[in-house]
Amino acid sequence: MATPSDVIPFHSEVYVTGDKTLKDVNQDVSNPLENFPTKIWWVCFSFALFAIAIWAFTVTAVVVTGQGVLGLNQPNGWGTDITNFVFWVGIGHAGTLISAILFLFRQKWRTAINRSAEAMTIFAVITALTFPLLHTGRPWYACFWLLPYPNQRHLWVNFRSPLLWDVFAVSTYFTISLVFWFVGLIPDLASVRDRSKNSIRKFIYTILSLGWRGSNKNWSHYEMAYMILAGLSAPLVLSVHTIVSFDFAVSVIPGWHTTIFPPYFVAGAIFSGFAMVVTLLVIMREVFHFKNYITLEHLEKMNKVILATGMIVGYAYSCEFFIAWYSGSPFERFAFINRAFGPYWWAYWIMASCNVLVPQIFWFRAARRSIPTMFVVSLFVNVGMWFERYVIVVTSLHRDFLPSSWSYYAPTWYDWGWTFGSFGLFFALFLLFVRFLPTIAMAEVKGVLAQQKSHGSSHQEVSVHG
Amino acid sequence: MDNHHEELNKTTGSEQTFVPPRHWIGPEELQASYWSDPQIQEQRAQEFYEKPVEMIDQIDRVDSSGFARRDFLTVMGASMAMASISCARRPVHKIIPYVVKPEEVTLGVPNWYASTCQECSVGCGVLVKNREGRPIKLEGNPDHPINQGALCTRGQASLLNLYDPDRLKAPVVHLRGNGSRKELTWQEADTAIQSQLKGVLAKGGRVRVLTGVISGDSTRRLVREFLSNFKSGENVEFEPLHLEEIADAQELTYGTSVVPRYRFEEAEVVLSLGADFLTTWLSPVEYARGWAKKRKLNGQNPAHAKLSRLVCFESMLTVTGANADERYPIRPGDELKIALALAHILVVQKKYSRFATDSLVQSSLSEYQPEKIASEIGLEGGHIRLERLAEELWKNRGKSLIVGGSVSSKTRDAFALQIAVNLLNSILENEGVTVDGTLQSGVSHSSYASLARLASEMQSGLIDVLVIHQSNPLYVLPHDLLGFEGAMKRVPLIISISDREDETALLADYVLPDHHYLENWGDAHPQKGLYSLQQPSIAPLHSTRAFQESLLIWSKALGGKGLVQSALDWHGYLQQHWKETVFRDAGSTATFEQFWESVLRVGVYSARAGKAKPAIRLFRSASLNKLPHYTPLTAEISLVLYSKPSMDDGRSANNAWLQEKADPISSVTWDNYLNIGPALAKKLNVAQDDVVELQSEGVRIQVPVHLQPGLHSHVVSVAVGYGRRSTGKVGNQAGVDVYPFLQVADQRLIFSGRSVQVRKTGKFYRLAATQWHTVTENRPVINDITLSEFRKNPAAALHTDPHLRLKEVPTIWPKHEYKSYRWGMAIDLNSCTGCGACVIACQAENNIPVVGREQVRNSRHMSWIKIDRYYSGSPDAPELVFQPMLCQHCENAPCETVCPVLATVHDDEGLNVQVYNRCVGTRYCQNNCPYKVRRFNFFDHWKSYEGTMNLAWNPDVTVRTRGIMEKCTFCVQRIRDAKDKAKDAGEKVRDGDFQTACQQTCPTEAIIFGNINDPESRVSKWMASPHAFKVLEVVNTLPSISYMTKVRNQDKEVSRRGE
Repeated sequence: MATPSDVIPFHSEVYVTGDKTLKDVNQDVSNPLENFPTKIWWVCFSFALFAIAIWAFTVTAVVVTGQGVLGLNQPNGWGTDITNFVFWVGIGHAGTLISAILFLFRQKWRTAINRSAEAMTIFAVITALTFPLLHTGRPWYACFWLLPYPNQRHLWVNFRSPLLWDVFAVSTYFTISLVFWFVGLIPDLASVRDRSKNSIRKFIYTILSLGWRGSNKNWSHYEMAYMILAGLSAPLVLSVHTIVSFDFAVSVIPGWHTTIFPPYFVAGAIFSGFAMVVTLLVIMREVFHFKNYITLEHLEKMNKVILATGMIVGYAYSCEFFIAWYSGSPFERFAFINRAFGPYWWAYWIMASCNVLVPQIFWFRAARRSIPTMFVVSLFVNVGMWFERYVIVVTSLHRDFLPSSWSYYAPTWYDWGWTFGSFGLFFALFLLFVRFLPTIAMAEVKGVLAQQKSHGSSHQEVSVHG
Repeated sequence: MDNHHEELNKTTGSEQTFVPPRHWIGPEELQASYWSDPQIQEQRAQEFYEKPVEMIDQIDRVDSSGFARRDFLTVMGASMAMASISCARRPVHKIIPYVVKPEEVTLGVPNWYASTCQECSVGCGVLVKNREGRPIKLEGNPDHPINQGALCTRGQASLLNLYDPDRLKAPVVHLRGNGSRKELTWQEADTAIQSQLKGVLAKGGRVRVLTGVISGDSTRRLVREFLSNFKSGENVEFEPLHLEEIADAQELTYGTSVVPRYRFEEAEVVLSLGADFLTTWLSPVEYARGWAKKRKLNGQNPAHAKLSRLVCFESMLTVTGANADERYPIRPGDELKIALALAHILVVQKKYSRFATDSLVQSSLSEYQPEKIASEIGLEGGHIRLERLAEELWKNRGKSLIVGGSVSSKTRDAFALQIAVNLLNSILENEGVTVDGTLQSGVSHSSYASLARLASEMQSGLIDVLVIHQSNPLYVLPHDLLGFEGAMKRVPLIISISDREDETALLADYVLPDHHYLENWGDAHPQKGLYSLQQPSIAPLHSTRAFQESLLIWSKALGGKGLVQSALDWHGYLQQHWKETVFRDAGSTATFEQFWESVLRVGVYSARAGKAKPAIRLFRSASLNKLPHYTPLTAEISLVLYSKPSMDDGRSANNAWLQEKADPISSVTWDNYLNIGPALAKKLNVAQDDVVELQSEGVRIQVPVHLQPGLHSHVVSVAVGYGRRSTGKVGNQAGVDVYPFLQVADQRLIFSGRSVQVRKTGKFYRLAATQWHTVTENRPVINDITLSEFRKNPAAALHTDPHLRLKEVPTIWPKHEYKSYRWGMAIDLNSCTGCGACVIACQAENNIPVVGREQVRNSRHMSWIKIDRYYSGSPDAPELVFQPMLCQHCENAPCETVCPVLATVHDDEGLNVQVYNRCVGTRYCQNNCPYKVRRFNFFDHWKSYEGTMNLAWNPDVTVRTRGIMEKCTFCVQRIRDAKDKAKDAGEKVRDGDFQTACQQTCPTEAIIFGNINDPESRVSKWMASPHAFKVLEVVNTLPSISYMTKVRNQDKEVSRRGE
């Protein structure tokens, strides 16, 4: 058995800068939790609440008056509803990838960012889940009729429908991600508990930390559980977006009916998820003074992933065109030519330039390590990926098989309202997270800190304590 | 206190013997008279000498109401207790069954009544489907010789007029002085009117009855008898779109004023000069059916397939033109030139027919050389085309038919055009064969001249009473024409008998609400020897009274003679009239009651024995003197006014079904618009939805533009019947009123040919169309070939791409099994005219809601069956093909697999069924449907049905709530009904036992429905035909609907295919 000191990292990189001690880690990470929120937090939170108010108004209008307030029509049965759903589910993917797959591959650099990435996953999936429910004409029935529950009427669900697969895929994903996140939080919650001076606070964190004592037994169970959950989550990274892509791929509609969709969607999801993580981390490290924990090294690695997945996405775009031509199907050919040069050409070229052209700047090291550059690029990628889903959903539907049915789809203010509002929902949850939970996995950082110290010129003996 | 003492002293002083009590309660006790009052003594003897309740009762009683305060409180308390009780739980509504059930009503089982459609004056027979006492659907009466079971768009929609919530519900009086409006009872109205009428009678005044065209003999007789009371009485009939020039020209050329019957079913070549006989001209249902008889190709023995030919010259692209084998866009007024040029070729150049020796004919035609005319019009193919056409017509003489003239060709030459048409029919020996002038009908003719005479009489104050019924001159006639509005002010008494306060009725003194025709008795005499009965199928919904009933009551009050005297009421009058005329002529051995009942049951009585060969009438060459001299048209842009199949003259503008009915050609709903051809639009630099100003001699009207392929480059056209000012919530201000462009010449209304300027305003108005994309993009959606191609290979147009067409596509799923029935449909694109009657029939049958202009704009129309229209060829002279698109009931239905809750499933009879209750509205099925025939309820659209309109719902079909998907069910309720009946009889459903709503109403029988498991059924035979194809077969959805290839009867040279 190799002891931690025997393990030589692949790259003897510095994960935490600024000569942090273990105490510093606790202090720095817990700081935002233990102080009255800053002005910036309040400003952000008010904005988020404002967006939530718009979201609530829109949703109420949709549920009370009907889907007609949205821009949907015939043939455009889906619009911003499913665009937003796929967008948010895609955002969620980075979290699982970082926490589970990078964990299994022993990528230590993930330690500083995995917590917030996982939180982002949870909140993105919550946000995403509102859309498939609210896009239905009768959400009050859809919320339980889509579940195969036993009933006296012998009503059952249709296992041939990709929408049903979605129900299982996304709910499984949400459950596993939540449990995984929570398990990872336990040692840190215990740290926060131990630091608490307020009795109510102590009480709450005591409950949340499930009696963690930091004993060897605790640690060994924890490590095992975490490993198993990571193993369970890993295939979900691939499966969820694969199944989401089946919503389209399984249909007969030209532009949807494509076998490339599963890998293309997964790559796109990771792409957009990483971009969102970069957006959030850049802000977070600035606001909470986490620059020593979330270093440029971390961000550069993220940017490399963005560059790589962006190119996969770009490859998928061109491959679709090739296959459309190669298939010989006039419907397919038309669908793709129409996508790029039809009424929605603008959406297509926003997508293509944001997702394929803009990330190319990351070939330059200076750009990968420039905070302003990466922030702008990540925003572009987020916009581009939203439009990717818009392009897929709308351009395929608005002109499908029968020319007499063709019609334009234009989102209404309600569409923009719930799109904007969904960001409010997401950010409000995220802001509450940074306020109440440790945003960096302290225990894990301490682990890499210890490792780092043992390899560097340590001036102090370290002991790992939860 | 002082007063009291005084009184006390006074009392004691005056009454010595009386000893007052020491303790008193009131000062009155100190008086002796008090104690001596016997009432007081009795009162005081009681235990409680003052009864508080009684006293208070007296004190509290409020004089005004006679209601005591305590009673009031008691009642209020009780009622509040009651009210709170009823709040506590939902009131129990009990469905009350018929205690004494009417004998003929069985709950859940429809009753059918034969009647006559009165939406226009044609007189088609209808069967009214009644459920629990209310009409819910109209169907053509199959026993009626005119419409033979079919019904047009307007006929289908006329049901909704019955339930129009904007109908006038009680008599109304308008006071002229202050313009106030008051509702009256019938009693009050009758008293007032009768006394005024008596005054008019006494002074020998003049009375006029202004009506629309009256199609019934008995009504006409009643009007005549009513008028005979007065010294001067006259009935003026006026309908703006009536083609009076046809009968007038018949009179001039043949000596009989008659609207002939045109036998399209016997014509091998039909030449239409602007006559849209398939949807708006004279008797469209009858003519469409007749024409379609020669358009059926069953695919057997294709090498010898025969098809009639239809050639159209028209200034507006009509449904007839769209169905023509050859169609030429012309300017309004060119119809006459074409007709005369053809006559010129036949008579002058080729010396055909007896007219070749007639010098008058020769000289009249000499100016109309085909070369000149063809080049003036810019005819495609030049005069050679005309010569070939003339030759073809001559070859088919006696088997051809020339028809001409409709609203769009009502120019100054409309009368001359009819003469020319008659001439051509006589030259071609069609007179007496395909043109039957002997069936003089009872339908009278509208006449603008008599209306003008009426107006001038009114203007000069000669008219004392004007009764208006079903005529709306104030909407139709422009202000400067006739000055009818001013003239009405000079008539002392105007009575309007109308179903609503329309533009004209608003100026009437009395507006009396009329019955809808489904509430009224009546008759029609559409052709000689053909009598049609109209019977009420519902008791009047409101306090309305029939026009005829009113006239009868007033006539009786005036001491009228004739039938009026003996008949008890309008029903009795009608019976009496029939007894005296139809029954007498029938020479029947049955009693009148038996005869009456039998006619009532069938709805129609025909006195025609067999098929008489019509007599040939001689053409009077002298009539050609009326032909104008040749003058070239100089107008840069000529305006064409036309009538839409759905809107006609605008009388049913408040009918939401009709307003939302997509125009067959433009697919636009809810509005009228200026049609401009592509070439002219380019020249004027206008685009779709631009608002332009039409200007002509002081008349300026702003109207949105619709780019319409197939118009002549010097023509713009716009439909009449829109922009109503007073018809109801639905129709008011829908579209633009273009009647102000009407002109008068030679005592006739001129609709078309006016020179106009078109100016862009810079404004936009988005028209609500149901189809935005108009070409097929060469997709396997439509098959159309020419007859010569068909003869070589009927399957020539089938898509044979080796990649896309597989004989048997392998599947991993077990195939559906259909053990008993499998329902399917065949649609013959060759005879489908695109009229859209099926759309309204489906709407009525299946409770399809109206969604409104804004929703149609956003592509959310709900029609389960939609008529798709595709153009091909050049935009200046396009070819059209119509395709009814409805749920294809696919065997491999893409919708079925994707629904997460199994709300759309395949049944064991091949139907793709939609389970409304289970649907949660993901719309995935709609997305995945290649035919896009699924309709989503974006809102609670059914709420747009107000008040009485809710009676129009078909109880057999669920009314859908918001948030769910719906689509064509193949009229599953009718299938169910037929199966139930077959089961009762212990049989299987036979072919033709029932029809779907769309099939039932189709004037051309283009839709065939039935069991495709039965190889002998009609639908199976059609489906097996070599020219049957499935739409988008490459998607492998295996639809249950087959379409028949459209075959155009074109010369090879004309064929644009392969060019």
